[in-house]
Amino acid sequence: MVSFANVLVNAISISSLYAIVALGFTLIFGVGGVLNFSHGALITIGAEASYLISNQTNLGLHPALGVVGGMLTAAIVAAILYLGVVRFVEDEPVTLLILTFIIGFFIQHAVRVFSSHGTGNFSVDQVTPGQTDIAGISVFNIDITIFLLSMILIALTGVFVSQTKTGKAILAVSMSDKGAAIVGIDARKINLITWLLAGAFAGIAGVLLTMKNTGAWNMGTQPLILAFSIVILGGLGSIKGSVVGAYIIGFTETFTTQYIDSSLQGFTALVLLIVFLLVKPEGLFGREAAE
Amino acid sequence: MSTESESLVGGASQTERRQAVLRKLNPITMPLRYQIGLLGLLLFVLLPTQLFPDQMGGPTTLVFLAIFGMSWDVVSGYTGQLSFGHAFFFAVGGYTSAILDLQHGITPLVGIPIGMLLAGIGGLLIGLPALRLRGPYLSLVTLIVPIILSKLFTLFNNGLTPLGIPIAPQGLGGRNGPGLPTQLFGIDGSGAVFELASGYEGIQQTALANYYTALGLMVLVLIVLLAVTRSSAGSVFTAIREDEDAVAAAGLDGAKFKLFAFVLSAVVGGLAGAMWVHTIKSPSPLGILGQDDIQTSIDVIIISILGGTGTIVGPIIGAVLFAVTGLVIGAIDFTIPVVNVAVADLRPLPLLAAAMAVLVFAPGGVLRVGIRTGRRVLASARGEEYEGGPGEDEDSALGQIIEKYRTELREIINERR
Repeated sequence: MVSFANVLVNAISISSLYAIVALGFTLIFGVGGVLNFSHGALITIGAEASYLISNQTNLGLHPALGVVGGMLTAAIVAAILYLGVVRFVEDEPVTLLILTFIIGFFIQHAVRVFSSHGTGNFSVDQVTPGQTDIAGISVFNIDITIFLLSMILIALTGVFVSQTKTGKAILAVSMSDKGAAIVGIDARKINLITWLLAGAFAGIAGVLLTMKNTGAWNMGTQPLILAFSIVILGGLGSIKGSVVGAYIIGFTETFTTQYIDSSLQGFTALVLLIVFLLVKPEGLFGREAAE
Repeated sequence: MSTESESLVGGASQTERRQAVLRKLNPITMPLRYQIGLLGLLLFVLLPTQLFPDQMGGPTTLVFLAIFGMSWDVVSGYTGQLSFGHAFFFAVGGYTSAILDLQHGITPLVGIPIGMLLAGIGGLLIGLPALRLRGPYLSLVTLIVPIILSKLFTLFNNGLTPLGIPIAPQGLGGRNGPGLPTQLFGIDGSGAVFELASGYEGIQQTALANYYTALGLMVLVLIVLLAVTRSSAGSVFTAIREDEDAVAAAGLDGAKFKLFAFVLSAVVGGLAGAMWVHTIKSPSPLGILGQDDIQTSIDVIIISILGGTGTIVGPIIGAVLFAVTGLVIGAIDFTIPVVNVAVADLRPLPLLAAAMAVLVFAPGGVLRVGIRTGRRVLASARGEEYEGGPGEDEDSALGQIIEKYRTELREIINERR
């Protein structure tokens, strides 16, 4: 029997991962109005890149390089997606919706077809192996890393958006394209930055998820659907909402699978979401973007 | 009322009207595109003469995919309510009929209609909230509903008897499915509903019976959906896609029509799903819902987009393209150098790429492009300049869905501000 404390740690760790996945998703939506269904594939890309860099059967470099490499690769793929595809159909949300969906599938299938592991799972050495005792509870170091890294990324994003000039430009574009254009902000450039950021976040999440559990070619699908749920729960386009939503979904998910039935994975969160959608479709923090 | 129908078929008396209808149905005098369509159907009928019984699985699957695509088209292609989880309805129909057969001993002949009915209720359950939810929210709900259903299959793995009511006393079977239900057709002594000859001949007849049953169902669905979408109800569907406010302004209850489209689509999907599990498909989450519980729903969308959304006929063409691409790619015996991957192993990448290309470059689908090209060729053969036919200057169905979605998205974003 796993102790309550361990379940709690696991819930925090998984919620932290969901938070950074959802953060990227909500950034792209908030700024460009794009629901990016290929976001899950970026998670797979990050994981796959770290596998190629850090796994002993491949390059076998230090896992930290895998984290950085996974982040960069996913960011670059996201930028290519924006520059190569999204930019041209930006004004057609449905085409974009279906297109990103199909692209997501395409990328994941491409990973399956071209990689050595195929449909099998793959693993990457943890960047911080081992366990630490905190107040008598044995905690995996990777869980601590995930929590800290996620908190740092979220805090940095908050500071970036509210303090830096580029960040303020991002906010401006998310509020009004026209207004931003009038004061001389290049919306294309801002969009590209958000895609880069979102890709990097998804990439890191993919690497960490692989280190925590294992990776697989279709590992991005489940987090994508959860991220979508989280973002709706927290309010589309709201940064604060997606972090809070991630913790709600992550905790519900972990505790129900642990204490009620393990087959409930992904179930309660989705049911919760449907109830939420029908009762309060604007989300928890739906008005935040206006402030 | 009568004056309208007179002007439509062009006759006052009963006999004249009947003759006018008959004239319309006469293949010789039909417009060319209908003749091509009939020829296509004839090819479907003749296809088995070119194949061995063990090769019939592919074409039969193709026919079912086409039916699924048509069921998606009537709600998403026409009214513009994008559904990302249509496999939900196929699964409800299929599982209902399979469970009734396996655990309650009810013959598929009764089980299939009940499956259809339950799928229709499912359509109502999704259609009702769909009236309130806009674009992206509806997409999300439809996307996760099949996933929730799949979780339910696992959750009630060993038995579903709420409040003591034995709905599925032996359970829904989790990832493996509840088992193989009674088949509609089988060889002598196989326990199928219709037992055919024994031995190899029986296998042959079973394969043919499955195929022609599916084909018959496809033609039936095609006729029903064409009749609905080409009727005044179809015009309202299209109007909803174009401008819901205009529909309301005309004194029509748009919600009623949306719900009707959802239920109709669900009933068709449920019927096909139920027939599926009693002919060629064993019910299981992976088999019916597909990879990650969403693959089948995505395939259905790809099929409709390839063929042409908002046409009903398009998904059939899309399904053929879908199957043929798979076959052709699978048959190419060539290994790509450098990466060392056989072309055949690339599936489903080429198909996904094709769908992307159609989406970006020909959002009207292959059907519309085909008709337009055909008209242009014919016109130039007559020495005329082709100036576009009726309705071609308007936006494509997909274009209108896009426009509708964009408006809803804008509303959501603006509310937020």
